[in-house]
Amino acid sequence: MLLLTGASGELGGLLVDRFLREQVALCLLTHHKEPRQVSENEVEICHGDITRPRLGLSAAVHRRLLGRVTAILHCAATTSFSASEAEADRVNVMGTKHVIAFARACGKLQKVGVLSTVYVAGRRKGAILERDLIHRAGFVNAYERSKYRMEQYLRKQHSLPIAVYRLSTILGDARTGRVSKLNAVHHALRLYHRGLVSMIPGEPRSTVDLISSDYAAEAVFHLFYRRFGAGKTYHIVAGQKQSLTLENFLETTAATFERLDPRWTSRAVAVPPIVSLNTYRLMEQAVLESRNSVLGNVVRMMGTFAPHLAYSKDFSDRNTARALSGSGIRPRPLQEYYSGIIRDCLSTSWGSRN
Amino acid sequence: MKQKQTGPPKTSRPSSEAEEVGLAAYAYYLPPKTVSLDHLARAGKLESSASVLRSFGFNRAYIAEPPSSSQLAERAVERLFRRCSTQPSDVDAILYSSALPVQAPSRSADPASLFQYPASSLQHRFGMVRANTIGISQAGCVSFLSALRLAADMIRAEPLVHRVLCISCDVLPARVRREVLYNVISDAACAAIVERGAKRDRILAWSQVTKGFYGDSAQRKNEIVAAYFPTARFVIHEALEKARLKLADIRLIIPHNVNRKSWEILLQILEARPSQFYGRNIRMRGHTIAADHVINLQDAVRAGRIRRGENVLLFTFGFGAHWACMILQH
Repeated sequence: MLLLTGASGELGGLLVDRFLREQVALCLLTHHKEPRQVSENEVEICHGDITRPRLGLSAAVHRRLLGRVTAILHCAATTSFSASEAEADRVNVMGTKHVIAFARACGKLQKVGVLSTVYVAGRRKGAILERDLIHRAGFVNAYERSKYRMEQYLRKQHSLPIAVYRLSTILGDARTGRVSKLNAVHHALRLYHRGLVSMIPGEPRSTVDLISSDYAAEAVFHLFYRRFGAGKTYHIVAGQKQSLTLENFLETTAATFERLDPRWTSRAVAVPPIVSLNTYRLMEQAVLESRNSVLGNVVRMMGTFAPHLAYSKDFSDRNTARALSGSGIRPRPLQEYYSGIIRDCLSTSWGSRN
Repeated sequence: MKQKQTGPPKTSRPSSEAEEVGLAAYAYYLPPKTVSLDHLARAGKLESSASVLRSFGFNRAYIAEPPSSSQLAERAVERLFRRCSTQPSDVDAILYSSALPVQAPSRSADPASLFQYPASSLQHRFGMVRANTIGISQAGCVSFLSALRLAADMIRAEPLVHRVLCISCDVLPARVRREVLYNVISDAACAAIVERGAKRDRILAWSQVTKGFYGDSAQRKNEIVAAYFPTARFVIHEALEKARLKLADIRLIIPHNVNRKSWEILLQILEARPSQFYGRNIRMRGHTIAADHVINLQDAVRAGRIRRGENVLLFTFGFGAHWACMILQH
């Protein structure tokens, strides 16, 4: 039996579908009342809480699962870039510790997969290898810091068969364009569409790595279910060849808005210039000093991730590429599905009509 | 979106002396009364706190009392004619620009009394008997530079027009606040003679972008703030391209006196040297809607910051919304 946490999340939900297609015996651990519509024949739903000891399960359920669970895929996390350090650590670090404690107590455990983020690299620049973790470059937000701490903890659990899957930023489903969960990138695009982004920190030629949710789900499924590698870390990224440069990304976004929204052209929204981080910080400071609430919220939101654009990274995905070889699973170039994503965002008024 | 340029790029390098147009003379007038930020705050005339505006580079405002734009304009024109050799009777046209509506001071029920124009009054007052008068409005703080631009175009297009007097004056009504979008507003007037064959301050290039979507300044102020930097960069780059210059060829950037922080950001975006920026009047004068560029240009010349033959870049933003840049060769 596979114990999966985080089934309510964007990726967790897709993974549940994937495992169900393989008819894997599933137990979904959730703190939501009704995480999703599944028939009870398909899965067992256990109400618990990873932030609590024993995963918040009753003693009886806990005992039963310990005897049945053979694999754990830990997807549950707080992924908000604006989460406080305390909240991010509570869910992402302490929650993971509880999952690992459960794993240790399992009598038949064969493997543990844990979702993480490529942005455990924080403010590092340059080539980022899958085996890399420890650094002193600092972090842009509490979420990535908490994932870093989580991975630090996981690396000390030598006796357990653990694989870590670091995901790049998920944009939406490449097949349908559907965005099931808006993240900071979508919010930034929404602000851009509204004409509220005055500038972007970064370098014009640095790449903006974005992946689709269907690719992420297929890749994680394959790596965990078919090609499990204990002790390995995998980068699930688009890579430089399938990504746009920051300059191209901004221009492509403007062109896409122009094509899909007739009012965009008449608003004559300018493409935000790409500026140094110092200049961006100067603007942030001026906005915050002005006490303009709207623009203050804009810079605060952008500040949870935009500085990353100034720390150009090249994520190596050698482990992933090797393990996915022959599977036909590969990231799609952003240009192929980006219009669909923007169309979905515009048609749902950036998620407000979902 | 990138601004689309229609038509072939215009070269602003004149091919003959007959086409050279420049500012033969200019002058400004500030009212005698100045008021501190703290005083304005106590009087409820600021939206932001005095300390925030101080950190943005402001210190005081010049206020015309009583608020009469015609008197300020008259003073500016008086100073201009005292300083230059141009005779009023040699002026071929008057372009009178103001950002704010010019109110006809009349309580008469006769609608004819509504049609009183300061440009006409000044034409008569100074004996500019040959001058046609034209008003320029709806351009906010771009009004005066628009007047210079149109004066140059008029001279180039009409062989019989040699000298155009551009006058600009704006006085805030007593009832309104003295702060607009984090800028402290001063009252002022200025006047300039644009002349065919002028040997100084030749107009090399002009660039302007208007974005009507931001026309409702009160409702769109956040979008205006966000659009300000990218659009400013665009018009400045376009003007430089038209003048076939690089920013390094510019000796001095003459600003509209909006808050210093916004200029620090824009200068970094442009990669301009701090020594290229003439910002001392932001603190000394505040932001005059009508006359910032003449005030700054005149003061910079007097201070020896610009020498003959050096290039000067004038940039401004005006509600409406307009971004404009003019390049002069001093």
